[in-house]
Amino acid sequence: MVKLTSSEGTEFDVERSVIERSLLIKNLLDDVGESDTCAYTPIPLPNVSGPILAKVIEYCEHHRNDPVVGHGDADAELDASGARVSDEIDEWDMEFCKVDQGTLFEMILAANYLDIRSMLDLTCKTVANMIKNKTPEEIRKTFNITNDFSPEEEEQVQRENAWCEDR
Amino acid sequence: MERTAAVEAALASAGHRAGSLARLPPELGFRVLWYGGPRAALQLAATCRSYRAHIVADRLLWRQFFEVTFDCSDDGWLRWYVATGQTDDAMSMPRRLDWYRAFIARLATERCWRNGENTCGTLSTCITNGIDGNSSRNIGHSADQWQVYDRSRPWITVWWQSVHSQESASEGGTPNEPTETRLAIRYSGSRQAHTRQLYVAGTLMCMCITETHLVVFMRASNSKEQHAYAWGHIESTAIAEQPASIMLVEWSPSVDALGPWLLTLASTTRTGALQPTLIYLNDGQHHELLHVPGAYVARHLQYVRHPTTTDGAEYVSVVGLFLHTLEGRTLTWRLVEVGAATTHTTATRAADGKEEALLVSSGSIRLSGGLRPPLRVRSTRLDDTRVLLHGADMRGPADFLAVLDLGAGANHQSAAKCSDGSTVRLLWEREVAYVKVLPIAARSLLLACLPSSRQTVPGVDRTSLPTAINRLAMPVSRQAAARGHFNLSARTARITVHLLCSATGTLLREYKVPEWHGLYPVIGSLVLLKASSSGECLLMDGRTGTQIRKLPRSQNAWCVNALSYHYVDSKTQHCCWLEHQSKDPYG
Repeated sequence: MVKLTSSEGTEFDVERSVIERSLLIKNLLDDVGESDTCAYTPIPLPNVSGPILAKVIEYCEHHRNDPVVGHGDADAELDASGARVSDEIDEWDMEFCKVDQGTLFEMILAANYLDIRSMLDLTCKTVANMIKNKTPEEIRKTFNITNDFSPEEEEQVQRENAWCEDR
Repeated sequence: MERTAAVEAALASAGHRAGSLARLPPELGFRVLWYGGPRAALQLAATCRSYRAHIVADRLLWRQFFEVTFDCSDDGWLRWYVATGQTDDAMSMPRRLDWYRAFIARLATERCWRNGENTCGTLSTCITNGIDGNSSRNIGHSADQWQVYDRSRPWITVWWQSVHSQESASEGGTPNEPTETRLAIRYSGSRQAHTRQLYVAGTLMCMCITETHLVVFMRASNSKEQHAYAWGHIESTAIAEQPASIMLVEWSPSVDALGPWLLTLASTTRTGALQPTLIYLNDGQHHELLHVPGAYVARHLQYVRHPTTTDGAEYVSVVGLFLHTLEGRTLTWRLVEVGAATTHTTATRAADGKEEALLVSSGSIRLSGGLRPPLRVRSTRLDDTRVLLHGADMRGPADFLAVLDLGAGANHQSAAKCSDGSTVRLLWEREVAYVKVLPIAARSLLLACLPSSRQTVPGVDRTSLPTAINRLAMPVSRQAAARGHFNLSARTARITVHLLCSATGTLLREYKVPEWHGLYPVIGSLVLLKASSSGECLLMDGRTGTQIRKLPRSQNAWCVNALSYHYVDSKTQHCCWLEHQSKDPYG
């Protein structure tokens, strides 16, 4: 077992094989070796809050048997015809990401910090899907963005974007 | 991620206006936008000023969108955009290309093609068969109809007509050789366009358009002597009156051009055999010749990418010479740098295997045992890092197809280490009977297959070879009439087309198209099909086989490139074009 400490000091016990989906922690544990130190010495994670760390552990437990996605596999996101496969998210993952926006962004940051590539991809895809197929106005509402374009600027932007419409 | 300090400052100060997305660090914002795709990125950029500044300035993001969306194919559009609109030096790819603007401009061009949005143009001075103006040239002369060079590039198109001396015709009583050739040249840059007319003495045998030069191969009247004339500064309205003249006794019209280099078979002495020859078209009046050692039977020009040029350079303009030979099933190759800085002696030695300094990679590959050894394999660049190996001739029936990956990591400095093939690999090979292979976008190969009745005898159609050889020796004016020698359309009503994935060789799609005389790449996945029965020019999506629309028909007098369709109007004999370039893609 490995002990993790969140930013506010909450401790979590988690199986080593589960949390080793995090390359950060895996490398740290590999450096320490097989000693018992790691079982008793909590690993501080000052950038991850307790609720987010709980979500991370939930994700790692569910995907504990999945093959680890390495860095440099971005090309795998292209299908045979060259199109990017971005919105293929399985049902469990989709439910997992049904959280408020603040939590979702915290999860992205945590996945990035802990170096969990598959979770980072999942959360980024989820945000990307919140943008796709929406009008600028719908995106503004979704992410609480204030429109500060002048009418002239807005018209110019719409003209440029029109080239994308027929594709 | 490349951003200006001003963009970063704007992002930081406008975080509250931009909402929670702005809390993500740049590399994560990039990842979200990458998954969303270009349309989502544009929609997000249309929400507020800070996002717009952030997204539009992200050159890495838009470069990747460009490469994925448009497949970064060698259809010439990007080279046209870069060479004619971004820099005064057409030879050097810029280090700081605005990839967002390039993306929008390219998108606009493709949309214009698909929707039939174009501007029409006519060369007003080319409306008669006679010689124009008040020149004394037109006295006692007649001219053939205008034709258009069929391998135009987006930046330049050439119409030409042969001019005959009526005097000499009447004396000889036989059809006379042209005394000179008239060229109407249209330069089309993204910022300017202009036309020019030139006269060249002799019969036009072949023409070649490079990124910097127009080269015509002429045969003098009543003589076997041949010359190549090269005009530089083709972007200038003051294109040089006196071109560089390259004396060649004999040469093959099969010319490969890349950057300032031409590669052809040529001889510069009356007793010399045809020899692979590189011609370096230097600026102005200068040119240099380099004879390539003859040990390698097939060759083409290929861009060379060095791992050391990752310092922000968009493209590497160093040209390489890919040489290969086939012995039994073993294909042996060398890729030698012949960039402008190359000394010719060294390059020759490198090509001959005696000098390693300019060797980019070399190696050998044994073709699969399941395949019969192809009679002959030719090579063509598929894109900057891959080579298409194909049996026989691109225009003829063949039975072998393969793709060789030169590898982005083909290390210039450690070229000798590449000879084990560790960085250069054969991606796939196939034994398949086909009549034409056409790379459309870099990720797809479009194969026009032989009709089923002929698939039992794949291989070179030997009966057609003498015709093909004879055709190569003809003046350009007679080549068009002989073009149908590989045309199988008389025997079949529709031709099966296979769309292959160039990375794996797998069949992506199969469809049928009307019988055709020719199939030409346009832009992206668009191709132009010249139907043999109706003579119609059909714009078609090569990925799906969907016919998009018809273009004006013109008997053997038309050409197409990524930007324009050029033709000679059958009724008026006007030299015309339809240009599919948005005048103002940025509004």
